[in-house]
Amino acid sequence: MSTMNIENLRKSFGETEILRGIDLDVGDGEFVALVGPSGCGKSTLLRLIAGLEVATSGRLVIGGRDVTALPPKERDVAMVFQNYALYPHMTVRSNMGFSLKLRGAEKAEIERKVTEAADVLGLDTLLDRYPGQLSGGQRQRVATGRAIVRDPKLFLFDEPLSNLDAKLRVQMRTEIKALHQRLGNTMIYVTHDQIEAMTLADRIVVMHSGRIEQEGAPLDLYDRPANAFVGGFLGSPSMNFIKGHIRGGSVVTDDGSVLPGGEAVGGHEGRTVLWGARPESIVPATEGFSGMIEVVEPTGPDTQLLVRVAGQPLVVLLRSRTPATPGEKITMTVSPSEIHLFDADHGSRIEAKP
Amino acid sequence: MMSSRWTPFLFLAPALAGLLIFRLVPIGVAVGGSLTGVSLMGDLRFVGAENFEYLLTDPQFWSSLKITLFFNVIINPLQLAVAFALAMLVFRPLPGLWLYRTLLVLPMAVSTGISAVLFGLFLDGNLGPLNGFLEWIGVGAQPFHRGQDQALYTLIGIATWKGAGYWMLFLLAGLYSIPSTVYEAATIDGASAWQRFRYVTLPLMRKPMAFVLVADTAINFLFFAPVYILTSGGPGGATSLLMFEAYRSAFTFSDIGRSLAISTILLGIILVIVVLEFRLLRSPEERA
Repeated sequence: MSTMNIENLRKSFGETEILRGIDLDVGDGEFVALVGPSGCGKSTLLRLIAGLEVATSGRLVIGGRDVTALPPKERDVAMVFQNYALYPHMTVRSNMGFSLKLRGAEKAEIERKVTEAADVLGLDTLLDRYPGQLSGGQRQRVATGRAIVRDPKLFLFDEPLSNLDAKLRVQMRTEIKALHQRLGNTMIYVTHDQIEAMTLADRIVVMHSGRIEQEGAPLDLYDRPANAFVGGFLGSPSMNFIKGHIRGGSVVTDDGSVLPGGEAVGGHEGRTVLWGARPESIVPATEGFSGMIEVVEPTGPDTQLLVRVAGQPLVVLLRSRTPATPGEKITMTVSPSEIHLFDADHGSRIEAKP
Repeated sequence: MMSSRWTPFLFLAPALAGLLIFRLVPIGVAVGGSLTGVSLMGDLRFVGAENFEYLLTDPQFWSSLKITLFFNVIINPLQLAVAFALAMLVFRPLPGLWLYRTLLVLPMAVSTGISAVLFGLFLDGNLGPLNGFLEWIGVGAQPFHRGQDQALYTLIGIATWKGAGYWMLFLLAGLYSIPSTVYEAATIDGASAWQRFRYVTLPLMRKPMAFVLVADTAINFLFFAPVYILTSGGPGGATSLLMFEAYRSAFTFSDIGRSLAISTILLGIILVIVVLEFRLLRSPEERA
């Protein structure tokens, strides 16, 4: 059993409220990613789960046991830190075996578990090195290994890949995913990188200003963001937003441009909305709305265009090497199911009224 | 851009010149001088190892050497321990922390000579407030620096009062250089406060501790002013540290050769001990 339940968890530092009531249930063996921009409270939430910070109010249950008031030691969680936090004066072997040593485990047992974890992570030849003699990727592996050796109820990852270069980050991402599939432990993973969250997690929790904006399976969140914030946060390049009014099944901008209304317009005639479309949802067409190409960025497989529509910049990602020239006019359309409408005031998603 | 392999030395030159003029040349003169003696006619002559041979048979020298070693065996670990304890106390946030830190560092600002004079008054048998207090609580007056059994410990106490805050600063800087996440990792790994100190703080403080111990040793082997001001090596030679013995040889008995021989031996002892201390406090990584 290693579920986790959070009920109305709040945390303030002095007058500043960092977490404004978090409710979250994590199932046994689930991989949950907490994402959000910096300052959204995701790291604070992780530190509360670890016991490094004490909640101002609310309840935290790990494996059916209320641990809200318990110190980290009694929570049976392991954490991988952004800067790895390896013990610089200990060898890789001692780093990984430290928690077992503190628990008073037999030397032979420590050695066996450390060797096992080292095998999994390919650290077997590095066991006698010191952290200062390792590369960034190797340190990251040792930090992960230190967590594995514990076989904890919960694995906590605090932006574990953000100190690595881009190439290594992708490689370690795959390793962490493989590790989860192999170990099957419950993992909670904090990141500001939405690609990392999308690729790794069974479930994504998007946070903003100390609240959970939306949670769900990565592709569900991507396809049906609950509000403009989630829509804009997930996806790269991010979703385009244009303000307008719903008129006769279309969205009309202030300067009179007409954008396709999509499936959600029904029953909202006259409402002011944010029209949202992902860059890859927008395709060239013979009929539709038009704009002026301003910038053309070929990336190899794709071509990214910056198009001015209704006086606003619109990013269009074409999945082909489309010849395009700045200054040209382009006509585009979006499939009705891929158009997102959000309330212009509070940003929440609009669905068609029956 | 003019640059050659001499450029770095050019930049180092002022410091090297200072080192040469104020340190290395005097050491050379002292070592050379230790091989000379003054004849009855008053002229300087080369006597080889005579000064050293004489010292080895001199009970006064052996007694001084013993006192000096004993003094250092006590005072160096003591000052390190006190400085470390103080650093731990003022490391974590605490109301009024700036006040505690200021008070602890303040003795640094008092010159050694003045602090010795002040302690002389403070510990005085008739006028001293401390003895007044001790009598009031029923312990009775203590001789302190005037007592053969207490004089050396009194000097150790005064030196520690003056030095601990200074050495604390280095250790405090060392404590701040340990990343807080390392402590957090240890906490999550299940370490208690004592275990975090034992397995994280202590080993990671090796380098600053080595520096403090070595620098402190060098200074305490040369401990002089309070001896001169408060005890003059007494009572009964109980505080006759080698530095004072060297001073007395030179300026009371005008035996410059003996004085310089003592200084040279002192230099040798300091070098040996400093090397030993550095080895003792090497990190396992450096030993590997």
